[in-house]
Amino acid sequence: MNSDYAADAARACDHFDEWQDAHGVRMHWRRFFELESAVELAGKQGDADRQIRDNGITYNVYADTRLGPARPWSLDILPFILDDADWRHIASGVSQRARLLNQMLADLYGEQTLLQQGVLPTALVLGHPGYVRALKGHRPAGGVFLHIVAFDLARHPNGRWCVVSQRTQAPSGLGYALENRLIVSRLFPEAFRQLRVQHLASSYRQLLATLSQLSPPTPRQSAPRMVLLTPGPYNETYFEHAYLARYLGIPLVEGSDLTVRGDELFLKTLTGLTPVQVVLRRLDDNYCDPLELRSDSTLGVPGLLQAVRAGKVLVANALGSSFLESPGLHAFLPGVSQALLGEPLQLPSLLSWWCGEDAALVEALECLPQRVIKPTYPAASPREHMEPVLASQLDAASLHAWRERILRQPGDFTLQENVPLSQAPIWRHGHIAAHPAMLRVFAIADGQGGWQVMPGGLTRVADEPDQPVVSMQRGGSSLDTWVLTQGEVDTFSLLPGQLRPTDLAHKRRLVTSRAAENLFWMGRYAERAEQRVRLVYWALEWLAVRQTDSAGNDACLPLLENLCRYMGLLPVGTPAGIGPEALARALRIGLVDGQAAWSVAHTLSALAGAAAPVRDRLSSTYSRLVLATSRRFSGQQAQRAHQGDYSNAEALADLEQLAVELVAIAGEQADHMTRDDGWRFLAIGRHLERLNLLAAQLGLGIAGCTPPQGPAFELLLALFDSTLTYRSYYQCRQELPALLDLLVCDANNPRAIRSVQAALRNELEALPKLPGAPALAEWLPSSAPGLDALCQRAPNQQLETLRCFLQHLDNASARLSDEIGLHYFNHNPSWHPDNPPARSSPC
Amino acid sequence: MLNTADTVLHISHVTHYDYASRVDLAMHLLHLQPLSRADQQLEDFRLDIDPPATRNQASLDYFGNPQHHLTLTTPHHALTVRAESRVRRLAAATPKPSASPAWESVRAAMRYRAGQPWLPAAEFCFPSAFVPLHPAFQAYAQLEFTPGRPLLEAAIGLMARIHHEFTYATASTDLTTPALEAFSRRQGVCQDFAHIMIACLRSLGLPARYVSGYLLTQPPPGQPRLLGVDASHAWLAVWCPQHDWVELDPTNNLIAAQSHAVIACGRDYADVAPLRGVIQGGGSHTLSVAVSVVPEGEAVFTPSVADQD
Repeated sequence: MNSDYAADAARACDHFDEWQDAHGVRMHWRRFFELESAVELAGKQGDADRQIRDNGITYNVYADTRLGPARPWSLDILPFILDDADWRHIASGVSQRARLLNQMLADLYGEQTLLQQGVLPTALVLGHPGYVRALKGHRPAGGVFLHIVAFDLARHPNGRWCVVSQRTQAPSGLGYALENRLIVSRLFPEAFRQLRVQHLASSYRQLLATLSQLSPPTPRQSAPRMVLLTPGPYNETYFEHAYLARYLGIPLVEGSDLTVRGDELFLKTLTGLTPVQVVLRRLDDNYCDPLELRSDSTLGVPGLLQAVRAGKVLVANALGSSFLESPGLHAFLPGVSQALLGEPLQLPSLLSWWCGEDAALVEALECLPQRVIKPTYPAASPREHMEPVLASQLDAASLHAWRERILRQPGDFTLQENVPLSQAPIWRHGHIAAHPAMLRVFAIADGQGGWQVMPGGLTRVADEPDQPVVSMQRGGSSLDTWVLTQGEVDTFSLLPGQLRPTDLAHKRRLVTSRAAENLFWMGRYAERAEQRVRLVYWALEWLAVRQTDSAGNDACLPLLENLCRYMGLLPVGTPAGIGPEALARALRIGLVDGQAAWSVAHTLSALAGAAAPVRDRLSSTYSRLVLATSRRFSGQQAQRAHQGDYSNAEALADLEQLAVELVAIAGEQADHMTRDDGWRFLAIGRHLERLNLLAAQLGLGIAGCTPPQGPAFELLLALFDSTLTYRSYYQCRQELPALLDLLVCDANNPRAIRSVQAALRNELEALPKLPGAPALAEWLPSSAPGLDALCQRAPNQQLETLRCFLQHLDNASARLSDEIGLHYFNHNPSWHPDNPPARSSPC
Repeated sequence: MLNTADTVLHISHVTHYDYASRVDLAMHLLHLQPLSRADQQLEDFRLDIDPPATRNQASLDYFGNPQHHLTLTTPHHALTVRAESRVRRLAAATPKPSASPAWESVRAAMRYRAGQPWLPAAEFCFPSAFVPLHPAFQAYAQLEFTPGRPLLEAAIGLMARIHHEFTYATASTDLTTPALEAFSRRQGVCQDFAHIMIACLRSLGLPARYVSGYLLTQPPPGQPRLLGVDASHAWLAVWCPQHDWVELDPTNNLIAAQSHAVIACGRDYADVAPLRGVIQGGGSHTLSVAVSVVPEGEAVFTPSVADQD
């Protein structure tokens, strides 16, 4: 099994070799394979892959994997092993660095002695877009700016460790490291125990303890409310955000879940505004507050900076810490360490030259071909963006061009030495191979000026043995990191133990307002899609076969056109009275144009858009069904569009297939979801939309002086999905009282307006009550007029009572939707005790 | 230009938003209160908000400019922010451009050298959100910044060049038009002229900052001054060792003095926008701004509704 390894290692003889030294295979690897059988490795890699798939561990390679599948996380089963001596050296150096970086922030947001004494260039601090001026002078609780710091370490060919980069604003990897550990430690239980591998849980406990200790005071000394703030599901490491939140036992929230009122931060939930004291953020600095930072950010919380300055909320890490990630700083750190700590820097950085300093520029350019060219500033700065460049891979002309570019704006570039990474053993294709590896370690503040370095971390390996860069974005993989100890192993665990009955009593799940709002709109869009499909289907079928001489046709065509217009199925500007052929063509074109707001495809994509952010609340079948339906139908219609105008038969077949899928979606909602408050909003959305559309459609149907008859009568039955029921009661007779009884009054017909109204009322009454909010069910009419009254004609021959009732329902449903939004989603009721809004009443 | 007497200016700045749909919650950050400094005193200031703000917090921003944080929790369909100021501009000595140091020496003083104390003005040498750096700006600036030329002389030359070679055109750009685009089209409004000249100076390694404020204009001869027909104005300042910041107005080819009232200074427009906000709801909106700058004691003519159309 060593043959491949020897070949890899020989190809890279100037690398440090993690697998063997001059005396052969290293001691810890010999021990490892005494305890674990090499023969079983292939099977174990399969186990690990399966577990990753089953747990849904993913890493989004591109930011726009909107609804598409995310890539499974990539894990190689052999751990990266560090012995006691190596680790002590790393831990001590990392701890000192973390302390130094925190001190730098304290100085640079305070006295700025480092700038005044010329220890650091202004360009790397105030010239960096990550320096948040609005927080100058603010000192966070305990003087702790950094709560988690991560360092990427490389092992030099001489065996020494050095820092390649430092992550100071929202380091990723703590979740993946944990997930890797859970999988790998179970694959190799013997080696894990006998090699005395240090556990990780205490570091996460430390993080929670630190945040708790530094939290602003809470009312009545209750435990502080913490949240994990994520940019959302499109972020490349979203899985980790969700995973970490669950493991730490804190809610995962997006910016729109939070709101600042006064100087305080609140979480919007269905039970009202809940104060939040601690925000563990995975959102970049400049996106956190659109009021004072990037105004184009939709991911942040307006007013957050005010809350921070007022000391009402702890943000970890402190906002404004990202400029410490610039590679330009490395060369200055030994000097900063002397100036701030009075100590030499223990763990060196890769040799780095910030070209903005004249002396460094000359030196750096002398050996340009051996350097890595890195941007001093991040992509989102008012400077040209670039990826790091390995100068050794450039030809003479490009080298010259780079030299010119650097000389034009020297401060924008930092050169670093190109150190070959150490090679770690990994299991590939039945052999042990050697691939370049980089180690990410994490330091957690203890809140009292000290640091706990997590004994382990996230090791990443390159995909190819001779690839000089290690990156998960470029197909790399990861390893669990084992830190061996000669002392005791701390076996503390944060994983849930056995549930007790008292735990079960409090299992009511927190529903954020954002989740409820998305569910509400899912309900509305699903219902709207069904209604639109029903109408288009009926229209296309009827328009194709209608006989111009049969009775009632003349009345039905304008009604149909009105309904299509009301349901938004005709492009804006379509002239009135366009005639049957043009109407059918407009409807078919509408199906095809997925971009247009009047198309069915558009409603489906709105449905999918509302479902995507609440995927974790839906069964996997349900969310797959919603997403797949939207994608399938748009794809199908795009293909049709490619053909040009297509036949009625094709359109009808497509609609029929879609109708079946929509029924399946409705079925999932009715039968497969836990009926918590979240579900209730889905149901309310559906009933509200149904009430609104049915009332309006019936209103259009009875708008003329003559009662609906012939095809118009059939059309109304079809829109209420009541054709079969009507036939079974009344066969072919078309009587107005019978129609209104079935469509409005019949308690056994789930689509009769009175039933929809009752169902909606039930769900509204089951909602959590909010202080100051009126009972929402009161917006609905308390009863429906009796059948006699509904059939009553006014002197002008109009069905006046029915018309008023339907009009009232239309107003009430619009008002209700507004009120739900104000009270449950926005938490900003327009309703004031001294100024109750006028309530629409029956005319 | 006469720099002998103080000027007192009465300024009214009314911003009005009409929203297509109801706004449920709004937060706004205002830079509407003129600052006080050696050559300018704010004698009176009033801020009226309609509907009344639930909260209005005044503070100084990072650059020392007065700012107001507003929160409105009353649902509303329109917002009016009315800022009224009385500003006294004090007479100041006009700098002597030919006596200023060679521009290269100022650039050198801004460069980092290990162990050398910094100059705070160095902060204004870097690119910022509205002021990217580009070789085109540098080439243009070098037409005036010839080797060894006194800094202020060159800067005033650059101001005149921009004033003559660029067209002032109100509809040509909006706030999102990048400085580079306005530069290549050779036209824009006062903000563009300020951003372009700042970009030129910074491209040379010189410190320059953005100034937001008001300009007293003269009505056409024989006509009364009209209220509400002025606009807020923008210019820039370049840093010069003897004079600290010298303010130049490329839109009018003037060294800013008693006719210019300063609201705030920052790296660019983004730091000192008169009004920026985040609203919940609202849909689309229409905005109207009415500014009047009137010297103390002067009679004014208030146009009636009929006169305005």
